[in-house]
Amino acid sequence: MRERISQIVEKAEDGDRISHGYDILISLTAIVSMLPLMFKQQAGLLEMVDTITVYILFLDYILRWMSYDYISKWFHGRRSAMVIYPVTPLALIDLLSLLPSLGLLGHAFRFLRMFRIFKLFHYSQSFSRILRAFDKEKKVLGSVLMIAIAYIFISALAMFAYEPDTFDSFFHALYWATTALTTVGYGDVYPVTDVGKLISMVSSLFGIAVIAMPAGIITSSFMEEISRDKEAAAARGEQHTSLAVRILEIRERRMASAGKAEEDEDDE
Amino acid sequence: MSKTKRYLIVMLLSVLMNQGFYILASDNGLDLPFWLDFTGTAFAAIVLEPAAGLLVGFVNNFYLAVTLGNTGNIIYFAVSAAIAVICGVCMRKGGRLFAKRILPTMGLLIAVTAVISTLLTIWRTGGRCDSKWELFYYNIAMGWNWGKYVSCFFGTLVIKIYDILATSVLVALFWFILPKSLTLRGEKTA
Repeated sequence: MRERISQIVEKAEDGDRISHGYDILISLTAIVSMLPLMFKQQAGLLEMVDTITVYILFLDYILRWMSYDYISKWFHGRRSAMVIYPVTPLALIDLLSLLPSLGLLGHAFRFLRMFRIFKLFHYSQSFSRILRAFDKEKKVLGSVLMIAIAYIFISALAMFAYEPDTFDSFFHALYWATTALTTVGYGDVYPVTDVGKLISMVSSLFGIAVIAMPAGIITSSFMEEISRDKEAAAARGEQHTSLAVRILEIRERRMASAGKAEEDEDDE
Repeated sequence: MSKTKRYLIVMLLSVLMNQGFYILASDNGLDLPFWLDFTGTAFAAIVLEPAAGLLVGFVNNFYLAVTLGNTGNIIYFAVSAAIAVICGVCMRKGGRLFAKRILPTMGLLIAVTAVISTLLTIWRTGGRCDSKWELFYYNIAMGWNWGKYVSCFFGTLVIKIYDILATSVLVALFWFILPKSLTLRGEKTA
């Protein structure tokens, strides 16, 4: 029973209608469950939507838990998978996204419900590719992130040291550095002296390059994943084709030998 | 009888057992000092497998959450899950049932479910038992100056002891009176 449950909750294989229907149900439920977040008041229909969607998503959590030894590649066939599942990243995210609706976390944690969008990672090929792209480049992205943080920190330090009266605290200087370097630039905090403006100009020019690096890395990795998936699909198609060709050849040989046997019989 | 049919019949019966015995033991029934709302969960876990008990327990908690209009009740699924796993794992090995494991299983059930229920009650109500019989024993413990949380545990523990004892008797009864085609008495089931 648990093996069948694992097949249903995982992304549907070709021909598995029940699993395919389940994938659609959970994907839609995850999206619909975030509708109440768009409204300030939660009453009537919105409460009912939240209640129904949380029940369905909780069931999905339980079904994945009970069949994790079949789902997981690393813990396949091991009973310890049942103990490991609750602390896996996606399971933790699923649980955190459900707790506010179960009344176990305060109203301030309502925003955690938006993590239900991660349910789509299980079923969406695009999301899976993005995840793989991030995973593949995590070391490079980590280094770039450290450089970006260091750059923001140094810019904020330089500005705060030269214009301490412009910023209420160092945190405001960090806020300015982040909005300026990411080109968001709200304009609520800005340098007023000429030297401060010069620091801002220099750090913005170099900062654009630092902030733009992750986008390029992720895009390149994402395109590689798409190419890889296409090649894999093409290879599967070729395998099917070559297999079909072989079957045809064997059939032709059998028919030819059967025909030859009949001719020999007629001759006799 | 096919395996699918057997599973469906036993699980449906288990869901009815959960609901039926819960109503029987409740204030509107015989007002007994126990819940009996996981009799079917334990039965399904022992007769079929732990996963079957988990699903039966979920249906039960889902129904209670819907009828009481409180999504928070679904967290008590943690208790049902513990019962399904403990009964299914401790009472079965290699597809066979081991009756001599019944006492240690009952002891483990009492301890684990009392702890989980107490923690959930503390989280929900701040440590005050909210059911009539648990509150009765809670007040006795408070009278002994045991403190709020220990009294909550005491009230929960006493009711769990009654609950597990009564459930064990009912599960054994159903095990013997139901047809062999459903329970596969004496046979290896997996």
